[in-house]
Amino acid sequence: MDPLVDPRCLVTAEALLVDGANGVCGAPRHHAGEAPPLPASSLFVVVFVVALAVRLRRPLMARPGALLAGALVVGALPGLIAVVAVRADRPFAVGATADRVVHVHDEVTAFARAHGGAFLRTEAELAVVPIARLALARMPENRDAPIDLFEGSLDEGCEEIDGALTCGTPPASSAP
Amino acid sequence: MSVVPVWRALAALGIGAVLGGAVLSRAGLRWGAAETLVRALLGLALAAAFTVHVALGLALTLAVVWLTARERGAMPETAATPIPRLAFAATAAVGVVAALRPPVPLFWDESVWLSKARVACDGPVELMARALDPHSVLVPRGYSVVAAVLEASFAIGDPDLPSLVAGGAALVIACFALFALLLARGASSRDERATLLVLAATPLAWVHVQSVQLDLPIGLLTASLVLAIERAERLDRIGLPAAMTAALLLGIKDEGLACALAVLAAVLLTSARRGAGRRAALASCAALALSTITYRLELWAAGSQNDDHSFVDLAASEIPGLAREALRHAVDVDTWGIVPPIALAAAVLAFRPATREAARTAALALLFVFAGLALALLVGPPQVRAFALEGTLLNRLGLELLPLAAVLVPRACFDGIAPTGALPP
Repeated sequence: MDPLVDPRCLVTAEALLVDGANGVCGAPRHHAGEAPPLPASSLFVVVFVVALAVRLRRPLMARPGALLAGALVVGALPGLIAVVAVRADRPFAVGATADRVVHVHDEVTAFARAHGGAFLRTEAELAVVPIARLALARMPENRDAPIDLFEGSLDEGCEEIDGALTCGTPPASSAP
Repeated sequence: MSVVPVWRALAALGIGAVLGGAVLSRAGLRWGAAETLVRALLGLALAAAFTVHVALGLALTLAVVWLTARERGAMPETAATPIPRLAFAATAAVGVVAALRPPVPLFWDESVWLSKARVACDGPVELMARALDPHSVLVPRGYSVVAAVLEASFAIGDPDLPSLVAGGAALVIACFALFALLLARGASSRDERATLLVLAATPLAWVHVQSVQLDLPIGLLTASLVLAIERAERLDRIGLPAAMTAALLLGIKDEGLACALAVLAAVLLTSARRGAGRRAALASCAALALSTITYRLELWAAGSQNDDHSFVDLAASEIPGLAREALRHAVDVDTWGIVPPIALAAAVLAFRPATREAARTAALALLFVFAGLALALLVGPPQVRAFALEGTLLNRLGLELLPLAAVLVPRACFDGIAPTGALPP
């Protein structure tokens, strides 16, 4: 039986940064025509709609508010469980996630300050691009101080090499 | 555990209350919670208008002074209202949840919005220069600057991360407070509880309460506009100033104008004979349209355009794919609970002959906002439809509909049913 909440629901900082606001467990990331059939949860929705329609056609039940409230609360449980217990921004994990984000932000800021500005040369790690741009928002552009954002930027942090700030691990083809 | 220092926004709210208080000095408003918040947010919204252009700020300020003073004569003095306990409790809960997170951007668009707010900390001249720069990347060209001004104001001009996140969080909380206080002003306690429950039973809403993104605020402001216009219809003096405030704040995103026009159309169709409500709707939408047009003219003069929000062509062939994705998003129980089918049922029920006019107004506004957003997707540039088809857009657009749906549900579903739950005669 499937678990109530997908245990892979935005559990990494990278996934949270990219998709955390696009859905409780991320974005489907399917292109039209390639998407799988509707999820099993849609059956629950269909059953509820039918029940509600029957209820509203035959106003015999004494407490419609209670029916509505109960349905809303039960329906919200899987998502709320994901928010408080699964995602990388759940209360007991969000501190560690935030520390990694701040680390990249502060390293980019320090590098740009030390060089009187900087510019983003490589944007290979999608998740940290806006963080780097935020760090550079009030800095002048300096083409002599490049910043390269590679995969693993959040985990591995950044290092200044030959006047450039390298975050993450460069792909093998571009490694020195 | 680190928290977001949202209390820093109190200084800006205080200054806004003084400015808004001066502008509304002839409106005859009391100093209740809703009136004070409207003063504060109106003052800040007008300050943002001055950032876009001094002439715009002057025109809007004079318009608010004149219109609110004129309406005062047509409305009796508003009696003291009971303390909105549930609205206070709900706002406090939202404020606590919004503050209980590290003051760090955790989602992609949070960093984008905070980048603009960080530039705004350098002052309005620098912000407008960057916003109008055709080569700007850090501040995406063409996007509205209103949110950046408000967030920088709430951050008291401090560009450090904690202050910026506090500024963004304060904007979310302020929009919710406006919505909750206007809801408490006009709804029965049962309807108020049901509306807040619909919001609380939407898991994605909690995610966005803990973010500084602007999708939920747009929804809250759209619903606030409907509620404010209804207050004006009922000759409550807070109606017009609150409608102007909600409309001007809708300028935080480009789709705000579409949402306001959708509300205007719904009001005109359902309550054309009630002068005060119609006047409030027209005046508030005209104010937002003037603000948007002024900013667009500045963009045009600077040779800078918003590529994401331009109108290109009708992509009729994309309709099936977009509809399928919309359905897939709507039945994502993790994200929405079962709110979408309930809202859909409520929208249908609102057109029963026995249903209150207020339910029809909310239903029409909801349908028109939905239609406006759908149309914008279909005639917009291809990259926007690509965002939608890849799953990064539709849920966020759904949040712009959610508060209106939450207002609609009790109006449509409980109509004809006594608040105690007893059967109607």
